[in-house]
Amino acid sequence: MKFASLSNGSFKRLRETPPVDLRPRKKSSPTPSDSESDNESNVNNKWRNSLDQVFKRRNTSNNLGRKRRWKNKGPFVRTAQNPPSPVNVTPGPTSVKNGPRWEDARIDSVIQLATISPFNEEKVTRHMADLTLVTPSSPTPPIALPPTVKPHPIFQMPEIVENILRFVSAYAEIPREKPYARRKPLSLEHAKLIYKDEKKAMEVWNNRSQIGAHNSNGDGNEMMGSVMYNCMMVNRLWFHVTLELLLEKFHFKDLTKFRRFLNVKNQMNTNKKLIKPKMMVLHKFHKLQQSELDELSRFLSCESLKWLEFYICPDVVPPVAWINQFNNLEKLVLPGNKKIDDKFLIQVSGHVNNLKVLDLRACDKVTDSGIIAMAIRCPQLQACNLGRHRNSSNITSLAVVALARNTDVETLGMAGCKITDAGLWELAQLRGSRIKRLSLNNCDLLTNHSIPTLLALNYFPNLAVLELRHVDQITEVKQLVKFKLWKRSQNIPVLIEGCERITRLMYDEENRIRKSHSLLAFEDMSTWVNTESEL
Amino acid sequence: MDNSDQEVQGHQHQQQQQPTNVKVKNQVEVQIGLVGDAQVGKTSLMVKYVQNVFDEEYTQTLGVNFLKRKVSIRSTDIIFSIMDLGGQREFINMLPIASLGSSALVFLFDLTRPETLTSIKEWYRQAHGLNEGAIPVLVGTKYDLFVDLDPVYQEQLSRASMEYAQVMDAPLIFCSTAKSINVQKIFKVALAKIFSLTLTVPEINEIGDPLLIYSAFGNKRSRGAAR
Repeated sequence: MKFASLSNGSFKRLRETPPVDLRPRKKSSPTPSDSESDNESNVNNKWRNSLDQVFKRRNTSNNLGRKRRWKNKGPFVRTAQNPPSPVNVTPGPTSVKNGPRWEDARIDSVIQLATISPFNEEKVTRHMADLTLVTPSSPTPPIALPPTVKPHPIFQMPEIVENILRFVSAYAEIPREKPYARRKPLSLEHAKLIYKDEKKAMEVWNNRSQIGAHNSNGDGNEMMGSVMYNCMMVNRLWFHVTLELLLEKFHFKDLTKFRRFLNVKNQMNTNKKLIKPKMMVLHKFHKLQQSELDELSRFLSCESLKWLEFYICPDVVPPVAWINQFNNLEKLVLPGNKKIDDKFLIQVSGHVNNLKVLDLRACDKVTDSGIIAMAIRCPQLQACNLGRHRNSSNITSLAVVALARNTDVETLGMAGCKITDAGLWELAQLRGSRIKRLSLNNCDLLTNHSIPTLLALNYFPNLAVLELRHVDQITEVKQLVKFKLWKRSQNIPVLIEGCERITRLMYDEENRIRKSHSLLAFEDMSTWVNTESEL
Repeated sequence: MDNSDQEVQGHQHQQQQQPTNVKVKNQVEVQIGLVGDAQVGKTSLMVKYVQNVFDEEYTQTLGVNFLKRKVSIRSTDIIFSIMDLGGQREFINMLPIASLGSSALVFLFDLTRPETLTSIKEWYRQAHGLNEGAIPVLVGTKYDLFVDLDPVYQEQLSRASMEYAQVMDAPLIFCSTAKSINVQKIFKVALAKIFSLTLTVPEINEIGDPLLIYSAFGNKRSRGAAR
């Protein structure tokens, strides 16, 4: 697999290069072929045509001509003006001469590209000439490379390259909340109760600050993200294909980079092409200004957008211009937003009838009326999270009932909301059999008359996760345990996440139930072994 | 108006599809290994017990056979996982499959071939060595053919097998798969010994009868119950 070894190779090199410096510029640079193929109106043929031109020119021109061409080029030359970086010591063409494989040669030239300085420009230029995509008909084979090593033809076909890069892109990490298997324990005692193993409990308790936190180090996916940028530097074709893919998944988690991207984009007035991402994620931009977002909306269109996420970007709301384009939106994730209110939701609700996921955690201004407006207009909604610590009285049973009545909701986050037993009963009756995840942490109005009773009557037969921390009025856990054991006997695990009090109650109850079951089993077995019957 | 209608409908709908009680059945899973010389009837016994079928034809077991049988009593399901190891010497390297993890090991010999009883020593040494916690049960097979043999031979072999049972501290059972004698008992005794249950089934001690001796054996070892 040539491709595999290629990407692995560049992957390794990547750690030596400071890719951070190059990234935003790469991303924002205009398609370099523009300057070359402005007479080409057909976009589809653009890549191939520009490539053809390159080869034609290479075949006819001498070294000097080549050099000039590269000097005039867009993104690569800009990198050339970068100050020399420590990577300059990477093996030069000499190492290539010692019986190189094609992949190695390619990677070396990639590194060279990234670190062009005026001093080795000549070498690089010559080296670049060896990156043959199509076999040149020239009688003189490229310097230092045996004529047999050529890229496989598949790497020259845009459709195939796009397929390959799509796989790379699928692995690229999108900044997001790390999923966790279980919530952090509330105390060491609690950890012991949960894990029933002192050592494991200790470990989890001591590492608690890391669970769910942003553990970006040692994460392979992070690396994969940068591989995309490396792919941009392979050659022209790869650059175009990768750029398209990168812009499809528009995501930032560094505000300075985002601002730089805006600047570059603003300077390029010539490029009128709108970015139409399928996904847009901004991660923890505490200081992002609304004006900056409005600026972005001038060259970014949301008509293909399926996933919009502003994760803890407290002071911005999606620009008005975008809201009308939300028809394809399936996932709207805006947790920790201080600006979003009912008015915004009512405005949005008219345009999002394909919405499946709505996350408004800690959006303190949102109240029942906003949620009801959304529920009525989003019949496909499957997951809705309204958890909060402040303004708990803003969300009541009204929102729950509206969601239950009008949507396909399966996952419901109600942590810290003022929902009542009656509200939960109505949810159970309307949608009980479809509910899979339910978070009721800190719902202090709930009592034994809701969840325990509802589980006993099996109103939530498909419940897989139930969060029930700090619900002080719930004291009856027998039904919770029975439900858990019943599910387990069918090999369907169910997770009931309780606070220390509830976990302890459940633990004791489980032991009691187990004991009585064992006694029963012994009784049954004794009866059986003493019955007289041959088969 | 509309809403209340919906509610009522929803309610009824829900009530219909709900299994009203969340009842858990106890499940006891027990693995039992069958070992012994070739052609003593290990596979026959297993097939007879699980499928209630007896086939006169001999089929050599290649490696290990495995069958499960579920016995349901009131609120408890007992699941016997029976591992049957081929009797040829070449399969001895698969003994751990049958032995490890088994709560009881049934050692079978052919009542019409005394040399198969002698081999039990070696089988016991190897299988018990791998899994000391397992309850051994000594089973003589083909009782239906055995009863037609010389009474002196019957007496000699019965006494010898009782001595083996004593040394192994294993319940002793003579069975006939062809005539369905004491087949079920083997598994009942094994289960009773595994969980130290009280057995009240009458023992059979008369030489010449299908022996069923369990009360004195298999009681004193320390072992972890399989639960």
